[in-house]
Amino acid sequence: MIRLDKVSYQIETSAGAVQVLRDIDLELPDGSISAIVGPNGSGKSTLARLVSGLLRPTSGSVRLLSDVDTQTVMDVRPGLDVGLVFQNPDNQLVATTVEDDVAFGLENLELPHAEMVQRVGDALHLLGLEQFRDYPPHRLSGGQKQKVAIAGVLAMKPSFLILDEATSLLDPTNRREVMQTVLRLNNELGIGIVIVTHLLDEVLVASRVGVLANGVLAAWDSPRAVFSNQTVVELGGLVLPLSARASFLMQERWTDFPLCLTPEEFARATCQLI
Amino acid sequence: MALSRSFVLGQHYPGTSVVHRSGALVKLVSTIALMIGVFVATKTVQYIPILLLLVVGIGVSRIPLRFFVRGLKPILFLIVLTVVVQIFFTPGTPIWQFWFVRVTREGLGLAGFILCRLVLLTLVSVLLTASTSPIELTDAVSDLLKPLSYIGLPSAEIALVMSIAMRFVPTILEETERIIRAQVSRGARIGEGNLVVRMKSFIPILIPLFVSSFRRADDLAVAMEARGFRVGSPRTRYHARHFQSFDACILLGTAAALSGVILWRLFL
Repeated sequence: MIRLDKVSYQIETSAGAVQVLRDIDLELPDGSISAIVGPNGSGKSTLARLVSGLLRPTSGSVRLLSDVDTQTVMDVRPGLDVGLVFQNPDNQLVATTVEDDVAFGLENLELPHAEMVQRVGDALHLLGLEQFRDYPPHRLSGGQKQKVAIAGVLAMKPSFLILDEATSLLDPTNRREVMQTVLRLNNELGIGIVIVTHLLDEVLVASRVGVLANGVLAAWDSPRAVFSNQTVVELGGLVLPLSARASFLMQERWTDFPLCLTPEEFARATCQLI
Repeated sequence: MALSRSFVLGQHYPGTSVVHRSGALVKLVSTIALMIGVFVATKTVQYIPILLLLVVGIGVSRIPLRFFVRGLKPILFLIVLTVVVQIFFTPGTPIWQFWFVRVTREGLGLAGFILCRLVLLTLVSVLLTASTSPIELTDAVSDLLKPLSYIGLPSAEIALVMSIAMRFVPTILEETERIIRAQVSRGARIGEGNLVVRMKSFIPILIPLFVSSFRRADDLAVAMEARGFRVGSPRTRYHARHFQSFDACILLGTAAALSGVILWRLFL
């Protein structure tokens, strides 16, 4: 489990200190899927970097707690405990071939050669990238590049994977493919997933959604609870999924119409109403 | 993609030949030795040992000859310019003259010599880069520079910088083409007019290109850090390789060619 206790982060600018995040308390259970949403500049990416150990909080703590031995408490180590996948796949692939890129993080961990070969093979297999092993990154599609980035992170065997707007530059088909891959990793390997996004359709798979507004965690609840809270929706500047918006329109006429998060739920509720 | 396809020098041509499977460090050392040999020679005929080794290398590598011919294209202008200058401006015995233009025997000889030198240097480089993957090549550079790390030269970091530079060549070329298309669609006239106008027309391309490259570098640094990279920290190597018998053959062949050039120059 990753626990954030009263985490604040501020940066110094020429105009003075700017508080990016303030008193964030979060618990991310092992194997869970969580999401962080919020408008641009709300501190989503900073929070992702704090959780991954890339940044140190100005105050408070970000710690990895072992479920097996509750005495074990450590700071999060970048890459090793928490893997971070960024928005633009072109700007995170380092090596000249897919295989070498997946091995990059393992070289940094100083792993022996045999183990690197094993882990690279496993990661490529998991992501279905074996046939692209020798490809240079620029010959891949956006979705494939993002999968290579995930494979590179996955090879380091982190217990959590953070997707920092990792699908926002992809077309709908590639976006769906990447999200399906991530969910499969959660399901098969039990890796905890944190989705940082402004695309609310993607957060429906999360058990908990955090809404950041002006550096403050305005809500930390299930997607249904968050989306039904009008104050939080307005505070976070959230544009709800179409089914949810249609549900609110229906509620103006039929007050007991339920909040539907997917088209399937909406169709079912409408049928029941008829 | 058109820009990226036009550069062969530095491009890898994947294969499984003996030359491809040879150690990158061995090939790099051989290439440097052959280049030294090219500069040691003082007559065109002294290039024969290097040429023979190069022909064998190209044949064994099974890389198509047209790939090497395409490799000469980027330096074609330099070759023509150098040859023309040598032919018409080298003093000596005239064999043809019209007004103030004069072709001399020495000029023709020197032009042939320079032509061979430039072609050999290019072909040796193309054979190295075509038969060696960029990552192997950067590892080889790192190995070659390793002794200098004892006096504080960050050899591993230099190799990584080279590797990343090579990785981003196609990306930056694509970005350049995208910016050119964007500027042309807004009415910019790229590469038209006289030299000054043409140079000025590239400013709207270079500024966004620099800005995006700096942003890219920033993102990449964070991404590398997120994958455990620390400047100066030790790293292991994914590409582990042991010395093979054909590595010895390449080194022996190179030693023979280089010795041939030196002996030819000294005694013949």
